[in-house]
Amino acid sequence: MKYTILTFFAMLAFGNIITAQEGKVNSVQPDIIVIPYTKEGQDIRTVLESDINLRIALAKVKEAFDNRGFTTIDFVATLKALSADGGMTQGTKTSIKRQIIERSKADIYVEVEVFPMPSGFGNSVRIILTAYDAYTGNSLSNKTGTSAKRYTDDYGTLIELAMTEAYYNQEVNMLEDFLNVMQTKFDDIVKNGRSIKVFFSFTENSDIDMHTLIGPKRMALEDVLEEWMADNSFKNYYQIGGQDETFMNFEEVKIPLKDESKRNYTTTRFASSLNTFCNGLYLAGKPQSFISAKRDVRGSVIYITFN
Amino acid sequence: MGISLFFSCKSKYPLTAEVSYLRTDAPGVVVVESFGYGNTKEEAEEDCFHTAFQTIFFKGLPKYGGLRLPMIEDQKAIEKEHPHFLRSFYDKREYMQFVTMQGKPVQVNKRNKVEGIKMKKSMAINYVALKKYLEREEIIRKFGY
Repeated sequence: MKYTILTFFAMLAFGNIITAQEGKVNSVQPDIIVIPYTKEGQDIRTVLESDINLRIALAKVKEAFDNRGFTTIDFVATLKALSADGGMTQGTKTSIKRQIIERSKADIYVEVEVFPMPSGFGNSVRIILTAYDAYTGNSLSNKTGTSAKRYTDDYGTLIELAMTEAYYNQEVNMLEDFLNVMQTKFDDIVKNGRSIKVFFSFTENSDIDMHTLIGPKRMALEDVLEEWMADNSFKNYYQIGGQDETFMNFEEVKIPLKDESKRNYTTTRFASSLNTFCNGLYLAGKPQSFISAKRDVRGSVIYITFN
Repeated sequence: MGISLFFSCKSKYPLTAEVSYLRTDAPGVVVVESFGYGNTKEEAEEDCFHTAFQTIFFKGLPKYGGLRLPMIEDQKAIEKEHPHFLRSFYDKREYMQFVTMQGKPVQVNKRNKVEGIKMKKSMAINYVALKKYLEREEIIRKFGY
Protein backbone atom coordinates (compact mmCIF):
# COMPACT_ATOMS: atom_id res chain seq x y z
CA MET A 1 0.00 0.00 0.00
CA LYS A 2 2.79 2.33 1.08
CA TYR A 3 4.66 1.66 -2.17
CA THR A 4 1.51 2.15 -4.18
CA ILE A 5 1.01 5.61 -2.66
CA LEU A 6 4.67 6.49 -3.16
CA THR A 7 4.51 5.30 -6.75
CA PHE A 8 1.36 7.33 -7.28
CA PHE A 9 3.03 10.53 -6.00
CA ALA A 10 6.20 9.77 -7.94
CA MET A 11 4.17 9.36 -11.12
CA LEU A 12 2.27 12.53 -10.35
CA ALA A 13 5.49 14.47 -9.89
CA PHE A 14 7.02 12.93 -13.03
CA GLY A 15 3.87 13.78 -14.95
CA ASN A 16 4.12 17.37 -13.77
CA ILE A 17 7.70 17.58 -14.93
CA ILE A 18 6.78 16.28 -18.34
CA THR A 19 3.84 18.67 -18.58
CA ALA A 20 6.02 21.57 -17.55
CA GLN A 21 8.61 20.66 -20.14
CA GLU A 22 6.00 20.24 -22.85
CA GLY A 23 4.41 23.53 -21.99
CA LYS A 24 7.70 25.39 -21.99
CA VAL A 25 8.32 27.51 -25.04
CA ASN A 26 12.00 27.74 -25.77
CA SER A 27 13.25 30.76 -27.63
CA VAL A 28 15.39 29.80 -30.57
CA GLN A 29 18.87 31.14 -30.16
CA PRO A 30 20.43 31.69 -33.54
CA ASP A 31 23.91 30.36 -34.31
CA ILE A 32 26.35 33.18 -34.89
CA ILE A 33 29.69 33.32 -36.63
CA VAL A 34 32.00 36.32 -36.42
CA ILE A 35 34.02 36.89 -39.58
CA PRO A 36 36.45 39.51 -40.86
CA TYR A 37 35.26 42.05 -43.41
CA THR A 38 36.84 41.55 -46.82
CA LYS A 39 36.85 43.76 -49.86
CA GLU A 40 35.95 42.48 -53.31
CA GLY A 41 38.69 40.10 -54.45
CA GLN A 42 40.42 39.83 -51.07
CA ASP A 43 41.23 36.40 -49.72
CA ILE A 44 39.61 36.07 -46.31
CA ARG A 45 42.42 33.78 -45.08
CA THR A 46 45.18 36.19 -46.07
CA VAL A 47 43.34 39.12 -44.50
CA LEU A 48 43.00 37.32 -41.19
CA GLU A 49 46.48 35.84 -41.08
CA SER A 50 48.17 39.17 -41.80
CA ASP A 51 46.23 41.28 -39.32
CA ILE A 52 46.65 40.64 -35.60
CA ASN A 53 44.32 43.56 -34.76
CA LEU A 54 41.55 41.97 -36.73
CA ARG A 55 42.07 38.67 -34.96
CA ILE A 56 41.84 40.44 -31.60
CA ALA A 57 38.68 42.23 -32.67
CA LEU A 58 37.14 38.94 -33.81
CA ALA A 59 37.97 37.36 -30.46
CA LYS A 60 36.48 40.31 -28.54
CA VAL A 61 33.22 40.30 -30.45
CA LYS A 62 32.95 36.52 -30.15
CA GLU A 63 33.55 36.88 -26.41
CA ALA A 64 30.69 39.39 -26.17
CA PHE A 65 28.30 36.88 -27.69
CA ASP A 66 29.63 34.09 -25.48
CA ASN A 67 29.06 36.27 -22.42
CA ARG A 68 25.42 36.57 -23.41
CA GLY A 69 25.07 32.81 -23.25
CA PHE A 70 25.70 31.98 -26.87
CA THR A 71 27.74 29.20 -28.28
CA THR A 72 29.25 30.93 -31.24
CA ILE A 73 30.75 29.12 -34.17
CA ASP A 74 34.48 29.55 -34.36
CA PHE A 75 35.47 31.17 -37.61
CA VAL A 76 39.08 29.95 -37.65
CA ALA A 77 38.04 26.38 -36.88
CA THR A 78 35.44 26.46 -39.66
CA LEU A 79 38.01 27.89 -42.06
CA LYS A 80 40.52 25.18 -41.17
CA ALA A 81 37.91 22.43 -41.47
CA LEU A 82 36.87 23.71 -44.85
CA SER A 83 40.49 23.83 -46.04
CA ALA A 84 41.21 20.35 -44.68
CA ASP A 85 38.19 18.90 -46.45
CA GLY A 86 39.32 20.45 -49.69
CA GLY A 87 35.82 21.87 -49.88
CA MET A 88 37.01 25.37 -50.58
CA THR A 89 36.58 26.28 -54.21
CA GLN A 90 39.85 27.66 -55.45
CA GLY A 91 39.92 30.74 -57.62
CA THR A 92 36.65 32.14 -56.41
CA LYS A 93 37.89 34.35 -53.60
CA THR A 94 34.69 36.29 -53.06
CA SER A 95 32.68 33.13 -52.61
CA ILE A 96 34.94 31.77 -49.88
CA LYS A 97 33.07 33.89 -47.35
CA ARG A 98 29.79 32.42 -48.58
CA GLN A 99 31.25 28.90 -48.38
CA ILE A 100 32.37 29.47 -44.79
CA ILE A 101 28.97 30.82 -43.77
CA GLU A 102 27.17 27.92 -45.42
CA ARG A 103 29.55 25.36 -43.95
CA SER A 104 29.16 26.83 -40.46
CA LYS A 105 25.32 26.57 -40.67
CA ALA A 106 25.21 29.93 -38.90
CA ASP A 107 21.93 31.85 -38.89
CA ILE A 108 23.70 35.16 -38.42
CA TYR A 109 27.13 36.35 -39.41
CA VAL A 110 28.82 39.39 -37.96
CA GLU A 111 31.43 41.20 -40.03
CA VAL A 112 34.22 43.00 -38.21
CA GLU A 113 36.37 45.73 -39.70
CA VAL A 114 39.25 47.46 -37.88
CA PHE A 115 41.06 50.70 -38.77
CA PRO A 116 44.15 51.56 -36.70
CA MET A 117 44.60 55.35 -36.62
CA PRO A 118 48.16 56.22 -35.57
CA SER A 119 49.04 59.86 -34.90
CA GLY A 120 51.66 61.98 -33.17
CA PHE A 121 49.22 62.66 -30.33
CA GLY A 122 48.55 59.04 -29.56
CA ASN A 123 46.99 56.13 -31.38
CA SER A 124 43.37 55.19 -31.66
CA VAL A 125 41.35 52.58 -33.45
CA ARG A 126 38.02 52.57 -35.23
CA ILE A 127 35.93 49.43 -35.43
CA ILE A 128 32.86 48.64 -37.54
CA LEU A 129 30.48 45.79 -36.72
CA THR A 130 27.70 44.65 -39.04
CA ALA A 131 25.36 41.73 -38.42
CA TYR A 132 23.50 40.01 -41.25
CA ASP A 133 20.86 37.33 -41.50
CA ALA A 134 22.79 34.52 -43.20
CA TYR A 135 19.79 33.39 -45.27
CA THR A 136 18.39 36.64 -46.55
CA GLY A 137 21.43 38.89 -46.29
CA ASN A 138 19.29 41.46 -44.46
CA SER A 139 21.23 43.72 -42.13
CA LEU A 140 20.34 43.19 -38.48
CA SER A 141 22.57 45.71 -36.77
CA ASN A 142 25.56 47.92 -37.46
CA LYS A 143 27.67 50.08 -35.24
CA THR A 144 30.93 51.98 -35.38
CA GLY A 145 33.11 52.73 -32.39
CA THR A 146 36.27 54.77 -31.94
CA SER A 147 38.67 54.57 -29.04
CA ALA A 148 40.11 57.62 -27.33
CA LYS A 149 43.74 58.39 -28.24
CA ARG A 150 46.34 56.65 -26.12
CA TYR A 151 50.12 56.58 -26.23
CA THR A 152 50.30 52.87 -26.88
CA ASP A 153 50.96 50.51 -29.75
CA ASP A 154 48.79 47.87 -28.15
CA TYR A 155 45.90 47.95 -30.58
CA GLY A 156 44.26 45.07 -28.76
CA THR A 157 43.68 47.34 -25.78
CA LEU A 158 42.48 50.13 -28.06
CA ILE A 159 40.00 47.76 -29.70
CA GLU A 160 38.66 46.83 -26.31
CA LEU A 161 38.38 50.52 -25.40
CA ALA A 162 36.60 51.30 -28.67
CA MET A 163 33.96 48.78 -27.81
CA THR A 164 33.38 49.82 -24.22
CA GLU A 165 35.00 53.10 -23.24
CA ALA A 166 33.62 56.61 -22.77
CA TYR A 167 34.50 58.86 -25.68
CA TYR A 168 33.90 62.61 -25.88
CA ASN A 169 31.73 62.39 -22.77
CA GLN A 170 29.59 59.71 -24.40
CA GLU A 171 29.63 56.29 -22.87
CA VAL A 172 29.72 54.35 -26.09
CA ASN A 173 29.48 50.74 -24.97
CA MET A 174 29.18 49.83 -28.57
CA LEU A 175 28.83 46.10 -28.10
CA GLU A 176 25.86 46.36 -25.75
CA ASP A 177 24.16 48.75 -28.12
CA PHE A 178 24.98 46.52 -31.10
CA LEU A 179 23.45 43.50 -29.37
CA ASN A 180 20.41 45.46 -28.19
CA VAL A 181 19.67 46.62 -31.73
CA MET A 182 19.93 43.01 -32.87
CA GLN A 183 17.48 42.03 -30.19
CA THR A 184 14.94 44.57 -31.43
CA LYS A 185 15.26 42.95 -34.88
CA PHE A 186 14.75 39.52 -33.32
CA ASP A 187 11.67 40.81 -31.51
CA ASP A 188 10.39 42.12 -34.81
CA ILE A 189 10.96 38.70 -36.42
CA VAL A 190 9.05 37.02 -33.60
CA LYS A 191 6.22 39.51 -34.00
CA ASN A 192 6.08 39.79 -37.78
CA GLY A 193 7.69 36.57 -39.02
CA ARG A 194 10.92 35.91 -40.86
CA SER A 195 11.54 36.69 -44.50
CA ILE A 196 12.03 34.14 -47.23
CA LYS A 197 12.06 34.37 -51.00
CA VAL A 198 10.05 32.26 -53.42
CA PHE A 199 10.89 31.95 -57.09
CA PHE A 200 8.59 30.23 -59.59
CA SER A 201 9.82 29.25 -63.07
CA PHE A 202 9.22 26.69 -65.82
CA THR A 203 11.31 24.00 -67.47
CA GLU A 204 12.20 24.65 -71.10
CA ASN A 205 9.76 22.00 -72.35
CA SER A 206 6.89 23.12 -70.14
CA ASP A 207 3.48 23.39 -71.82
CA ILE A 208 2.21 25.96 -69.36
CA ASP A 209 3.14 29.49 -68.35
CA MET A 210 1.97 32.08 -65.84
CA HIS A 211 -1.02 32.98 -67.99
CA THR A 212 -2.33 29.41 -68.22
CA LEU A 213 -5.84 29.14 -66.80
CA ILE A 214 -6.13 26.92 -63.77
CA GLY A 215 -8.89 25.10 -61.90
CA PRO A 216 -12.65 25.58 -61.77
CA LYS A 217 -12.39 29.35 -61.34
CA ARG A 218 -10.31 29.58 -64.56
CA MET A 219 -7.79 31.88 -62.91
CA ALA A 220 -4.36 32.55 -64.41
CA LEU A 221 -1.60 30.58 -62.67
CA GLU A 222 0.03 33.81 -61.49
CA ASP A 223 -3.20 34.86 -59.78
CA VAL A 224 -3.64 31.44 -58.19
CA LEU A 225 -0.12 31.60 -56.78
CA GLU A 226 -0.59 35.13 -55.45
CA GLU A 227 -3.86 34.15 -53.82
CA TRP A 228 -2.19 31.19 -52.10
CA MET A 229 0.63 33.42 -50.93
CA ALA A 230 -1.84 35.96 -49.55
CA ASP A 231 -3.61 33.20 -47.62
CA ASN A 232 -0.51 31.45 -46.31
CA SER A 233 2.08 34.16 -45.68
CA PHE A 234 2.39 35.31 -42.09
CA LYS A 235 0.01 38.20 -41.45
CA ASN A 236 -0.65 38.14 -45.20
CA TYR A 237 2.63 39.85 -45.89
CA TYR A 238 4.36 39.27 -49.22
CA GLN A 239 5.96 41.36 -51.91
CA ILE A 240 6.25 40.53 -55.58
CA GLY A 241 9.62 41.50 -57.00
CA GLY A 242 8.81 40.82 -60.65
CA GLN A 243 6.84 38.61 -62.95
CA ASP A 244 6.07 37.84 -66.57
CA GLU A 245 4.73 34.78 -68.32
CA THR A 246 7.93 32.81 -67.69
CA PHE A 247 8.53 33.49 -64.01
CA MET A 248 7.19 34.96 -60.80
CA ASN A 249 9.44 36.23 -58.06
CA PHE A 250 8.19 36.77 -54.51
CA GLU A 251 10.96 38.98 -53.20
CA GLU A 252 9.77 38.75 -49.62
CA VAL A 253 7.33 36.37 -47.99
CA LYS A 254 6.91 36.35 -44.23
CA ILE A 255 6.59 33.00 -42.50
CA PRO A 256 6.07 32.46 -38.77
CA LEU A 257 8.88 31.28 -36.51
CA LYS A 258 6.63 28.71 -34.83
CA ASP A 259 3.58 26.79 -35.93
CA GLU A 260 0.37 26.50 -33.91
CA SER A 261 1.87 23.66 -31.86
CA LYS A 262 4.81 25.92 -30.97
CA ARG A 263 7.16 23.82 -33.07
CA ASN A 264 9.76 25.57 -35.19
CA TYR A 265 8.39 26.42 -38.60
CA THR A 266 11.11 26.10 -41.19
CA THR A 267 11.47 27.24 -44.77
CA THR A 268 11.36 23.61 -45.88
CA ARG A 269 7.99 23.09 -44.22
CA PHE A 270 6.61 26.14 -45.98
CA ALA A 271 8.13 24.82 -49.24
CA SER A 272 6.49 21.45 -48.65
CA SER A 273 3.02 23.04 -48.25
CA LEU A 274 3.57 25.18 -51.32
CA ASN A 275 4.78 22.25 -53.40
CA THR A 276 1.80 20.12 -52.36
CA PHE A 277 -0.52 22.92 -53.37
CA CYS A 278 1.21 23.38 -56.75
CA ASN A 279 1.03 19.67 -57.53
CA GLY A 280 -2.70 19.71 -56.74
CA LEU A 281 -3.47 22.32 -59.38
CA TYR A 282 -5.05 21.23 -62.66
CA LEU A 283 -5.72 22.90 -65.97
CA ALA A 284 -9.05 24.70 -66.39
CA GLY A 285 -11.65 22.37 -67.84
CA LYS A 286 -9.34 19.34 -67.48
CA PRO A 287 -9.69 18.01 -63.90
CA GLN A 288 -7.42 15.06 -64.70
CA SER A 289 -4.53 17.19 -66.02
CA PHE A 290 -2.57 17.97 -62.89
CA ILE A 291 0.37 20.29 -63.03
CA SER A 292 3.73 18.88 -62.03
CA ALA A 293 6.04 20.99 -59.90
CA LYS A 294 9.41 20.39 -58.30
CA ARG A 295 10.87 22.27 -55.36
CA ASP A 296 14.37 23.18 -54.23
CA VAL A 297 15.27 24.99 -51.03
CA ARG A 298 18.54 26.83 -50.58
CA GLY A 299 18.78 28.63 -47.28
CA SER A 300 15.70 30.78 -47.15
CA VAL A 301 15.04 30.74 -50.89
CA ILE A 302 12.45 28.38 -52.35
CA TYR A 303 12.59 27.51 -56.04
CA ILE A 304 9.48 25.98 -57.57
CA THR A 305 9.88 24.74 -61.13
CA PHE A 306 6.81 23.74 -63.14
CA ASN A 307 7.14 21.04 -65.80
CA MET B 1 -2.77 50.14 -14.29
CA GLY B 2 -0.26 49.15 -11.62
CA ILE B 3 1.61 52.39 -11.99
CA SER B 4 -1.51 54.53 -11.96
CA LEU B 5 -2.71 52.79 -8.79
CA PHE B 6 0.64 53.36 -7.17
CA PHE B 7 0.71 57.02 -8.01
CA SER B 8 -2.89 57.65 -7.07
CA CYS B 9 -1.90 57.83 -3.41
CA LYS B 10 1.17 59.98 -4.02
CA SER B 11 1.97 63.44 -5.29
CA LYS B 12 -0.07 64.31 -8.32
CA TYR B 13 2.98 65.55 -10.13
CA PRO B 14 3.34 63.38 -13.27
CA LEU B 15 6.10 60.84 -13.70
CA THR B 16 9.04 62.46 -15.43
CA ALA B 17 12.12 61.07 -17.16
CA GLU B 18 14.54 63.29 -15.26
CA VAL B 19 17.42 60.85 -15.22
CA SER B 20 21.02 61.70 -16.06
CA TYR B 21 23.72 59.22 -16.83
CA LEU B 22 26.74 59.84 -14.59
CA ARG B 23 29.21 56.99 -15.16
CA THR B 24 29.75 53.26 -15.14
CA ASP B 25 31.58 51.93 -12.10
CA ALA B 26 31.89 48.37 -13.31
CA PRO B 27 30.76 46.37 -16.34
CA GLY B 28 27.00 46.02 -16.16
CA VAL B 29 26.55 48.71 -13.52
CA VAL B 30 25.40 52.20 -14.42
CA VAL B 31 25.37 55.21 -12.08
CA VAL B 32 22.54 57.66 -12.65
CA GLU B 33 21.06 60.68 -10.96
CA SER B 34 17.30 61.01 -10.95
CA PHE B 35 14.65 63.36 -9.61
CA GLY B 36 11.49 62.51 -7.74
CA TYR B 37 8.44 64.30 -6.40
CA GLY B 38 6.28 63.68 -3.36
CA ASN B 39 4.25 65.13 -0.56
CA THR B 40 6.93 64.09 1.89
CA LYS B 41 10.69 63.67 1.61
CA GLU B 42 10.30 59.90 1.84
CA GLU B 43 7.82 59.87 -1.01
CA ALA B 44 10.02 62.06 -3.14
CA GLU B 45 13.02 59.82 -2.49
CA GLU B 46 10.99 56.76 -3.47
CA ASP B 47 9.92 58.56 -6.58
CA CYS B 48 13.60 59.01 -7.57
CA PHE B 49 13.83 55.22 -7.88
CA HIS B 50 10.63 55.05 -9.92
CA THR B 51 11.85 57.74 -12.26
CA ALA B 52 15.15 55.90 -12.77
CA PHE B 53 13.68 52.44 -13.31
CA GLN B 54 10.74 53.56 -15.40
CA THR B 55 13.12 55.48 -17.67
CA ILE B 56 15.45 52.51 -18.05
CA PHE B 57 12.46 50.23 -18.73
CA PHE B 58 10.52 52.32 -21.19
CA LYS B 59 12.60 55.24 -22.43
CA GLY B 60 16.28 54.30 -22.33
CA LEU B 61 19.28 56.45 -21.50
CA PRO B 62 20.45 58.04 -24.77
CA LYS B 63 23.86 58.97 -23.38
CA TYR B 64 24.80 55.44 -22.44
CA GLY B 65 25.16 52.92 -25.26
CA GLY B 66 24.30 49.89 -23.16
CA LEU B 67 20.92 51.37 -22.23
CA ARG B 68 20.32 53.63 -25.22
CA LEU B 69 17.31 51.55 -26.18
CA PRO B 70 14.53 50.93 -23.66
CA MET B 71 14.68 47.52 -22.02
CA ILE B 72 10.96 46.96 -22.56
CA GLU B 73 9.65 47.89 -25.96
CA ASP B 74 5.93 48.11 -25.38
CA GLN B 75 4.81 49.63 -22.09
CA LYS B 76 1.10 49.23 -22.79
CA ALA B 77 1.51 45.56 -23.69
CA ILE B 78 3.37 44.88 -20.44
CA GLU B 79 0.77 46.70 -18.37
CA LYS B 80 -1.91 44.65 -20.11
CA GLU B 81 -0.24 41.22 -20.17
CA HIS B 82 1.57 41.44 -16.82
CA PRO B 83 -0.62 43.76 -14.75
CA HIS B 84 0.90 42.66 -11.45
CA PHE B 85 4.52 42.88 -12.43
CA LEU B 86 5.09 46.63 -12.22
CA ARG B 87 2.87 47.00 -9.19
CA SER B 88 4.78 44.32 -7.33
CA PHE B 89 8.11 45.66 -8.57
CA TYR B 90 7.46 49.10 -7.08
CA ASP B 91 5.12 48.41 -4.16
CA LYS B 92 7.30 45.63 -2.75
CA ARG B 93 10.41 47.62 -3.61
CA GLU B 94 11.82 44.71 -5.58
CA TYR B 95 13.89 47.21 -7.53
CA MET B 96 16.13 47.62 -4.49
CA GLN B 97 17.85 44.32 -5.25
CA PHE B 98 19.35 45.97 -8.35
CA VAL B 99 20.54 49.12 -6.57
CA THR B 100 24.17 48.52 -5.71
CA MET B 101 24.87 51.97 -4.29
CA GLN B 102 22.80 55.01 -3.40
CA GLY B 103 23.74 58.58 -2.63
CA LYS B 104 22.16 60.85 -0.06
CA PRO B 105 18.93 62.42 -1.33
CA VAL B 106 19.02 66.20 -1.72
CA GLN B 107 15.97 68.46 -1.78
CA VAL B 108 16.22 70.82 -4.76
CA ASN B 109 13.14 73.04 -4.36
CA LYS B 110 11.05 74.79 -1.78
CA ARG B 111 7.93 72.77 -1.14
CA ASN B 112 5.13 74.14 -3.31
CA LYS B 113 1.65 73.18 -4.42
CA VAL B 114 2.57 72.12 -7.92
CA GLU B 115 5.64 69.97 -7.32
CA GLY B 116 5.36 69.18 -3.65
CA ILE B 117 8.89 68.28 -2.60
CA LYS B 118 11.42 67.66 -5.36
CA MET B 119 14.52 65.63 -4.57
CA LYS B 120 17.49 64.34 -6.48
CA LYS B 121 19.37 61.17 -5.76
CA SER B 122 22.20 59.26 -7.33
CA MET B 123 22.21 55.48 -7.48
CA ALA B 124 24.10 52.64 -9.12
CA ILE B 125 21.94 50.10 -10.90
CA ASN B 126 23.07 46.64 -11.90
CA TYR B 127 21.31 46.66 -15.25
CA VAL B 128 22.68 43.29 -16.37
CA ALA B 129 21.06 41.62 -13.36
CA LEU B 130 17.91 43.67 -13.97
CA LYS B 131 17.75 42.45 -17.54
CA LYS B 132 18.22 38.82 -16.48
CA TYR B 133 15.43 39.30 -13.92
CA LEU B 134 13.10 40.63 -16.63
CA GLU B 135 13.98 37.64 -18.82
CA ARG B 136 13.29 35.24 -15.98
CA GLU B 137 9.93 36.88 -15.31
CA GLU B 138 9.23 36.60 -19.07
CA ILE B 139 8.73 40.34 -19.34
CA ILE B 140 11.32 40.49 -22.11
CA ARG B 141 12.63 37.79 -24.39
CA LYS B 142 16.04 36.26 -24.03
CA PHE B 143 18.57 37.23 -26.67
CA GLY B 144 17.53 35.43 -29.81
CA TYR B 145 14.35 34.64 -31.72
